[in-house]
Amino acid sequence: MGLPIPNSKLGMWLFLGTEIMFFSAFIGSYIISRNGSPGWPTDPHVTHINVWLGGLNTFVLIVSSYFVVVAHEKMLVSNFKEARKFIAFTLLLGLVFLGIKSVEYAGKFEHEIIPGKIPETPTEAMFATASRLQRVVDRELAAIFPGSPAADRRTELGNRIASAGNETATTDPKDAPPAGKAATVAQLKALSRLNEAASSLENHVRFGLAMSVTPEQLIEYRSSPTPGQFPAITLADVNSFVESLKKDVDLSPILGNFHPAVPILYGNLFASNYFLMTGFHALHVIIGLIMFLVILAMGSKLAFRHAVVVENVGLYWHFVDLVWIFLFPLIYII
Amino acid sequence: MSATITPPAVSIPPGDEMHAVHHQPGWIRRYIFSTDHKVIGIQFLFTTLLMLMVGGALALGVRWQLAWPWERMPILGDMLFRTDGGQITPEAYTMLFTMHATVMIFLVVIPILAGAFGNFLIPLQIGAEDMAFPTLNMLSYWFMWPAIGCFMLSFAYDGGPAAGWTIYPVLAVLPQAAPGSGFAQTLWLFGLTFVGFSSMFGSINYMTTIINMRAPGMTLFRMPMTIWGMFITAILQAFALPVLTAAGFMMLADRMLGTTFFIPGGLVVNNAPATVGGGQPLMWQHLFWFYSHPAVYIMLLPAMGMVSDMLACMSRKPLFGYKPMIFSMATIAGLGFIVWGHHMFTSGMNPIVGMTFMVSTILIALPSAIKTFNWIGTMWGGKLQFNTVLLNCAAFVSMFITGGLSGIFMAAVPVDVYIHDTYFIVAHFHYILFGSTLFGIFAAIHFWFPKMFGRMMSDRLGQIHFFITFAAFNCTFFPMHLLGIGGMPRRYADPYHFPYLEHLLPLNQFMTYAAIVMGFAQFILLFNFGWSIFFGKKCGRNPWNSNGLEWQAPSPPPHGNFDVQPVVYHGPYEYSSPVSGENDFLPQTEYMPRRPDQSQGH
Amino acid sequence: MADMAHLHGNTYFRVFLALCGLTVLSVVADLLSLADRRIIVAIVLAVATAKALCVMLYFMHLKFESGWKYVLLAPTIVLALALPLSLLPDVGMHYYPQDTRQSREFARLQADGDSGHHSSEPTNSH
Repeated sequence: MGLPIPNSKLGMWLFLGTEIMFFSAFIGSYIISRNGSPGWPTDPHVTHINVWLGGLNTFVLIVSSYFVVVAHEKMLVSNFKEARKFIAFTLLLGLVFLGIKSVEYAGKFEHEIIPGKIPETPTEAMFATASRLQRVVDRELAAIFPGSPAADRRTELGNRIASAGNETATTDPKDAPPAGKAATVAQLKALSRLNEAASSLENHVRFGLAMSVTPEQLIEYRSSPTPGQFPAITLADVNSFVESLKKDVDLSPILGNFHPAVPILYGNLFASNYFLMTGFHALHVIIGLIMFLVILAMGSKLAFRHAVVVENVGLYWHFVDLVWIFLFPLIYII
Repeated sequence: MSATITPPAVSIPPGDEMHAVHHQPGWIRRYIFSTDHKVIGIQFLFTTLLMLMVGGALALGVRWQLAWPWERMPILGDMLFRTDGGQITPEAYTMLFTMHATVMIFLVVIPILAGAFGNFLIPLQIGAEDMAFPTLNMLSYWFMWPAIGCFMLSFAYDGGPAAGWTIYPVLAVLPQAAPGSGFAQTLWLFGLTFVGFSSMFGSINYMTTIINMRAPGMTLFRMPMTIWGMFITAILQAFALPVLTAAGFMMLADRMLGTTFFIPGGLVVNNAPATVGGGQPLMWQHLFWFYSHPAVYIMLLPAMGMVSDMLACMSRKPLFGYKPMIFSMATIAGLGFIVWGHHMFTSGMNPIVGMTFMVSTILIALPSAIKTFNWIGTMWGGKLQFNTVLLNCAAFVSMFITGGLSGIFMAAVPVDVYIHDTYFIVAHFHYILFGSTLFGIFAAIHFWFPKMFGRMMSDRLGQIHFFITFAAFNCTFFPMHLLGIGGMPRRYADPYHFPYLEHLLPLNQFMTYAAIVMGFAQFILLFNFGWSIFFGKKCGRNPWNSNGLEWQAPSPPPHGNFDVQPVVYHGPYEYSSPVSGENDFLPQTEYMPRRPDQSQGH
Repeated sequence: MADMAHLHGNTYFRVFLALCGLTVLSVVADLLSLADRRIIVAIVLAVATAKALCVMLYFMHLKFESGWKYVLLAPTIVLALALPLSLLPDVGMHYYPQDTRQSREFARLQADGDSGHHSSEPTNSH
């Protein structure tokens, strides 16, 4: 006795029931966290949420869902060649979805929208900008002096500049470090200037003094800190300092891709939810793609009795589409 | 109806020798990676009995510390804590009670009910030849082993996970919070995920099988209570467990990927840098109990179903109020979804929510009372067969009443605020989980053992085991009510550090003696079990003169279960029925002269 | 499955077009700068529900299944909605004043007339 549907289809529907609960835990806790966090970031310039990419992905999934339905229809009329073709299309669209998703992720990573690493207050943003600038210097130094230990690279930069000024000095080939990125003297000098700027920014941020405070004043402040003696640093101060560095002709090639940190209140919780929900959705997409591959691997052995398999995989794929249909407005629009 | 019966490949009439076409698989496929529901059920049974020993040993460790704090523990202490001179350190103590609960809940009670008895009984009692998805069924067993591996491995890292089985943040989510919050906790979460997968596979399988593979004539309201219990449990599991799995993934991400779902902002723990945070620890408690309160019923409903079947058989009377039993079970399950907040009355939850949860929790007493009265009604005036099965079932009912009554205390917010997290709650859930469920399981082991192995267990040994366990159980757990009202908090390694608890030491020592007796009494069960597999009295198909379909199959049933496709004519509770002739029972496959509706429910 | 015989490609294609149209609608709603964000929220959630219904009824063939679909889906959807709803009064709102670094920062921003948050955003960020 039982329902007039095959066991596998009933099982798939029950599984989808559990999946609904699985995703409603994620989506529910996202809504709850968001509601319980006044000041949640919504500005797309801050969160780097791209509604066009999200909309395009919605479209891609809808088309793929349509193709699965067509594939199942072709199975029912025993047109297996056509069915395989549409399943292949679906597979392709799934890959396109994942491609667009990874472009979005790369955009987030470029702006360091990474859970646990996002500054949430202006002060944290200043520190983050300073350390990002240091990391740029480290990266450039590592490219030029790959063989030497990280701690010695700054000294070595000074030596290289000094020896380049003294054309007659010849370096012993045995002492020569492994050749890194070739750099002209002008580039080395620019890097040295950037290094100084980065250290200066770091010091000013650490002591909370405006960039207009001179190094001598900074030393004076360090030896006897008197609150209110010098103007305090602000985020705008840091940002305009970075702007001026980026405008510098020598430094702009190095800093072309540099973004000063932006404070995002609740940015870490936002990024946690964003990556968890879209990540588990992408995982489900990948599982669906594996199922399609299995069907395609059957090749010409695909027969009428597999119609129910295609239907079940299709049900799963529509569910993946359904989740995205809800994720799209919840993440990208609201 | 016809869709679910495999048509025979050779030309024999339907319902006759339908298993002639089964070929016998090789030894490994038959006994290790078997897809036969009976073998999987027995595999679950052996595994969970082994884990019962592990969990019991951990409990004895906890009891030792409470009776003789900081003293060298013989045998177990020397084995586990050799580096500390056999002494249980505070960290080890938290690990002991965490792992005791974990092992007992996730590796013993849930898998023995759903995994062992669910697997063994569902196809047999509904007249199917196997589960709907045998391979998935096998996977559900083999997903237990990575879980066991993760849990056992977590002992090895910094003294094991120490956040309790409820793993509340921030203790569980910040690795710097405590010695046990390190990698052990991560392993523990992986173990939980594996258990989750195992349960999900199982529950989808059970639901599909029960919905779609019943024998002809086995309508929903002719199913034995065991099947109803398993069915409702599977529903609970399927729809509550994904929430815990999701929450577990969120916590794993918090621990490993830097997300902040459950970590509040700006928290400084153990001089570590302040947390980035932004999340809310209370959200974990909600998500956790959204599963784990229904899980309490997952750990109870199958036992309720099995006990209903066994009580009817051993009282030689129809089950009193069959349909009310089903509806009350369904009501318990439905209410079970909306009462989880009663675990959080003192967690700082919104008082309005607390009020709602209090009312819904107290409502659960109604269906529970219906069930209790119906069990008593079933036994009332019956021809009671005083054997191990009946004794354990009666213990189930009485312990359920005791534990249920103490539950009502804690359902009320004003009372709960005083006794929350004291030994009163420990007494309560041990009366339900041990007193009810485990006695139900003991009964079920004795009752269905003949079907599993074709031999009877010794009734005398069973009764000795029962009486010792029952007495020792009450000596161990009843005084816990007193400890709780005396104000002794749970989870303290040394409560006697506080002067107002010092006078409780002798009582605790008495309880530990009882617990040790109880622990050793289980070896009687194990001996009886192991001995009877090989040397028990051989039995026929129906040693208990019971009505269920499983008793129509050979003992033990072959691959494919029934030699004739069973056809069901009435419910499973026709005991001492006036129409059954010289027997006092009427198997479900026998035609009943009167219309079934007229004799049901009286 | 016999009920699906009268479903043909045409129906599916129309559903597909409806889904595309609804997606465009929600993107357009996002671009509208209405004074009250709540209207946009209502629109896009309504659109998402409509799309979900389209997919479930036609692509997942629920329109042509018998009564079991209600037994399975009604409790699931009730539970799925009840979970966030019941967490809302406790975690989604705070009946007591919160004190975390985020809540302090938000209070500071409110006190600054919401100037600190947006003015600190550099012009080159996008």
